Amino acid sequence: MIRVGVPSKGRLMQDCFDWFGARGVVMRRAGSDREYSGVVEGMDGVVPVLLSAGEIPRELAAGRIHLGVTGSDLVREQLAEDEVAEVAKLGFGQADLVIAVPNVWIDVETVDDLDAAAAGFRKAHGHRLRIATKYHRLVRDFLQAQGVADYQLVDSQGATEGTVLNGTAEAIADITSSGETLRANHLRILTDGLIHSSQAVLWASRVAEWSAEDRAIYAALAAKLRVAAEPF
Amino acid sequence: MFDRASPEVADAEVFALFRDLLAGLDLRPVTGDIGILMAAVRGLATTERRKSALLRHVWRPVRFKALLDRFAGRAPVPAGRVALLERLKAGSPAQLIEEAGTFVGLRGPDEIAARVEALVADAGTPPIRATEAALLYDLLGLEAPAAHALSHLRGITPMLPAIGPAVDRFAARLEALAARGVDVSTLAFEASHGRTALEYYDGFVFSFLGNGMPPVASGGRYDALTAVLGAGAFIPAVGGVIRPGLVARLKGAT
Repeated sequence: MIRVGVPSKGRLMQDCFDWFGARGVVMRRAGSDREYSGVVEGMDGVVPVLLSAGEIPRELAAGRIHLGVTGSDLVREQLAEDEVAEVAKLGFGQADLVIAVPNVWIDVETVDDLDAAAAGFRKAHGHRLRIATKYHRLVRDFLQAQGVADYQLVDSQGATEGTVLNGTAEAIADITSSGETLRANHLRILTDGLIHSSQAVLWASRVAEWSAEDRAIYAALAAKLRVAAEPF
Repeated sequence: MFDRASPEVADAEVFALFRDLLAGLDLRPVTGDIGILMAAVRGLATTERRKSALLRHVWRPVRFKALLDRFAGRAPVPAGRVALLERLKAGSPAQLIEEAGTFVGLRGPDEIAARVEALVADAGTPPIRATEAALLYDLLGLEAPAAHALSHLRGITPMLPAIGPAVDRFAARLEALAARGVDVSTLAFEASHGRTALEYYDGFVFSFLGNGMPPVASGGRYDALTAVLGAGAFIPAVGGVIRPGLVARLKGAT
């Protein structure tokens, strides 16, 4: 029996059900709208597990689910490469992790400018330029690879776009799809500030136990979904 | 090791100490000298602002190269920069900031305006001369046995006189190393060695490398660090670390 973690609510859940449904694997929630359990029609041995999208990476890494659908941003941020394998990109849930700065920074258009501004800022204020984000690993790797200095990451788990207005950060790195919230908070994306293009991905856990029976079920599922036969 | 009198002898002594401690582990020593690179940058015929921007990134090769490419006119000016310079012909920085909308954040209008002025000044600065830039690129890529590297550096010193004193120190260090039995005709030297490792090394740097693992030992000179920590007082220092976990792994494996 293989357990498939799927987002438990909203647009992401519906898009996910639609993606599986279009390939002949019909998922739906069992019982009432409020009950967090699911059923699959057309496939034996596959159990949907409804989870918050944010918890799916952790469940994959713990091996409590065999497969899971969640954003590539969350997985790349939270997991090591050997913990999961990418099975398929699902083509929905697109959003970009970007660096944004105040619109009034007329001198800052690129990461190169941000670096120079950070040097000046540190001199003027005695502390490093603060970038608010919840994507610490992705942002640090990106800035390090580009050789940016004199910044620090400050943790922001929500309403990150407001941190600059509220004076707890000078710039932000966050997920955006339309950029509207950024604009509403007087922020602008750096022209080369795209850190990660995220979308919903079906992942396979390399940590979960895959019995011979599980592998057979996966093979049948993979054939229906037209995805890699043995990614894990 | 703190030593004011003869830093090059101290460099050699620390290196030899590491060599002796790590003997038998079949490691490959690599040396470098950030001081030569820094001297070359300081000697460039360009603005102090450009020099300090380059010096700030001596330890970050990607950004250093991006800056050098731009200052040498090898990389195009970013489109956004061109547009900004164009708009500044019609309005002052203060006006443009005003037009950009609601002011948010701690970085003040005066700071933004100051950098804009610097960008304008930089746009009017001629590029670093191609011959000078070429020497710097050459220096960044210099990898050779130490004795050979020295004669190469001696060869380019007349064209880049600012590196003279640093090259003399390099020569003195090789002499001191040779006096301690180090074969400088085979000792690996890389001018960019240690640039990505630790930000405080500013002269001699060295590593002892094994296969398929991080450096087993690394060290170097950090005079600037002791100067900052000394808050006015100053004592030159050279030192390093050996990673005991890796040594144990190597000894277990042999």
